[in-house]
Amino acid sequence: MVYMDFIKPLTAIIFCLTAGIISDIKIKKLNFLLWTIASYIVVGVSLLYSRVLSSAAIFVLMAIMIRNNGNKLVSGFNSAMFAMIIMIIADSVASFLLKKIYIDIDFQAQLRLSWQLFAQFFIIEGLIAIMFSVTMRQLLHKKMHIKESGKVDLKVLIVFFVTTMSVFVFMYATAIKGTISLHPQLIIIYIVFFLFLIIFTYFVFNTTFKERRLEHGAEEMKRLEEYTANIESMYRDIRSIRHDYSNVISSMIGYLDENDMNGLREYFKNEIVPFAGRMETADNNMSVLSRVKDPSLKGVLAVKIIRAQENNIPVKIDINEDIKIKTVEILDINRIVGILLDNAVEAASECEKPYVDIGFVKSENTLIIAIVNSTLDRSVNLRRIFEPGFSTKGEGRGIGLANVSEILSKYKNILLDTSIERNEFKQVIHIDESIKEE
Amino acid sequence: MLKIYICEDDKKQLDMITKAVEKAILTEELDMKVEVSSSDPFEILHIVEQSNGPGIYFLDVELNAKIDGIELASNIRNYDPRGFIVFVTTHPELSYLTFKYKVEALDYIIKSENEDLNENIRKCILNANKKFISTKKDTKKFFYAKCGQKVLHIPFEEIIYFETSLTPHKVLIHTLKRRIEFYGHIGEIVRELDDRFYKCHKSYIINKDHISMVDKKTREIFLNGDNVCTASVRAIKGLYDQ
Repeated sequence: MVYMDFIKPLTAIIFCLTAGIISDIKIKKLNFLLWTIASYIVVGVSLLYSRVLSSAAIFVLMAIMIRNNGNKLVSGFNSAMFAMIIMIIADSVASFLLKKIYIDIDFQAQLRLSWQLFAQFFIIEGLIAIMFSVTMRQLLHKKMHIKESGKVDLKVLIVFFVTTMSVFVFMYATAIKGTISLHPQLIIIYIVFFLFLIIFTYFVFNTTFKERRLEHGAEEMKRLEEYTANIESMYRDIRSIRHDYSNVISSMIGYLDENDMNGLREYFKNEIVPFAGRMETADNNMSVLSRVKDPSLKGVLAVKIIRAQENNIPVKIDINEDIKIKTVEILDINRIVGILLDNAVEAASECEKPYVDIGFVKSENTLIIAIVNSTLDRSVNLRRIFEPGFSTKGEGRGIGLANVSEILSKYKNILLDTSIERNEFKQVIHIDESIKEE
Repeated sequence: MLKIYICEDDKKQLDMITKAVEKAILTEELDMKVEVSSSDPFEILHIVEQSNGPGIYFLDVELNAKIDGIELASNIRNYDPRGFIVFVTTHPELSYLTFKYKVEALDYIIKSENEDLNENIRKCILNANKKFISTKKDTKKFFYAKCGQKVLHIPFEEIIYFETSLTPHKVLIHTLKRRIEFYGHIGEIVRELDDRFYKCHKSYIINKDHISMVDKKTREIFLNGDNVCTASVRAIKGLYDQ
């Protein structure tokens, strides 16, 4: 029957759906329709030649679809693999059930001839596949951080591909022989393989996840080291101030010995008053930082403040209470504060009267982090600076802010208020600390 | 009538501030009076607790008591959320962000030989009075962007449009000089707005007062400040119908 050639590839639609569900991708309806049609055509054409070809074709097609919609290639292959297994299992279960119902007919033969039987088969298979894939999605994405696969070691990757491919080939070889419908017990073997694949996926992605954690740890360590180095340089500063101080005293004694009151008055106004002021801000900034109770955050702040002061940008820090952030991961806060301070220092450095003010303020259950700086650009487009890749001055400033937005998206309890007024740029982060993130 | 409260631990300065305030009220002929001027923060709190209506508070930050001026101010805020708080301090540079974000202080006055105390106090009182009068007769509507107990008030007229963020479940508010990103849903926000706003797309709500041009062909709506929103087919028809 010729029209069966058009009906059979319909299974590709279920395949598409399964792959879509299992990879948990957000894909536009129209786009998804196009992919479905494409896979229908590809499967339809390749089915005319051989079943193996059609399965391989749809497998590759699905991997590409998942990759094209924002996932890594590994995730693409992995999810396509799962979709394939789910399809085979659904196929076996559906034909097993129908054979039990229509016990008196030659099922395999009839399926090729009767579209009614095919329709029943199609519906059952579809339902099973969807149920299965929804369960799998929960399992894979909620528990195993599949999307965390930022960087994967090449060795791990090769092992992963070889394993999945061999599982795939083995399953396919058995399926092709048509043994599925003859020996329903084979489903058990499939399920065993399936579990094996799950465990394997878990290990691959979990290692990646841990690796990334370690990297973060190393980063934090580096920051701590920087912080210690800064403390040392501060200590040297204090010693030099002490040295200045004894100089001041001896000069004063000089004026007093000569009874030069006018000279002393002059000296007091020109030398001592600014000296006292300098001592106070240097001292104040660092003593204020001791109220930050997260060492890594303290490190980030110290590094950025000192770097700004080296560039002759005065920084004022305003922290009146002990700061310990509970609801946001400290690494995320460090990154956000780091990016915002870098931007603030960069923008301020272009001004005639540069300044950067930092405030950590607690108000009831809300922690407010305010970063204020002087800026030249009166016409900064607040919408565009957050777009990925946008930058007012070359070096990836826009990328920074897009990153901030991305990090913030993880948290329901953060509000970011950005404003610009009279040459002053303000970033205010409100963190609702009454909510406990799980 | 606005009541004025003054708290300063140094008796001489307390006297100076009180005199400056009284002088300002007299010369500007304002409907205000000094309710209490004391060096004891708890006395101030006790009186604030029993009175109603917004007041003006001149508080020294470094009080020689169990609580400092900032804590006193946050306690006052519990009873008088709309009051005008002005800090008097020798070290303003240390905590102006705290003044602003912790207790939404109106301003601060620097205690220093070079500063004209009378003039600064007069300016603060006039500023508070202006704000007080404008809030009294004000019919401005606000959008409330919440983050826990903290609420930002954004006047409807300033909002150009709302937009869903690229990241899920976050909404952006755009005004000419401000961008606020917070957790929310466009569908729920549209219910809190009045009829000057129009949901032209599933991810945009625009303020019709800010429309500068509409391109029916490309379905683009141009808004103040270089902003462009796309409208859905149905919405652009609806916009023309209005």
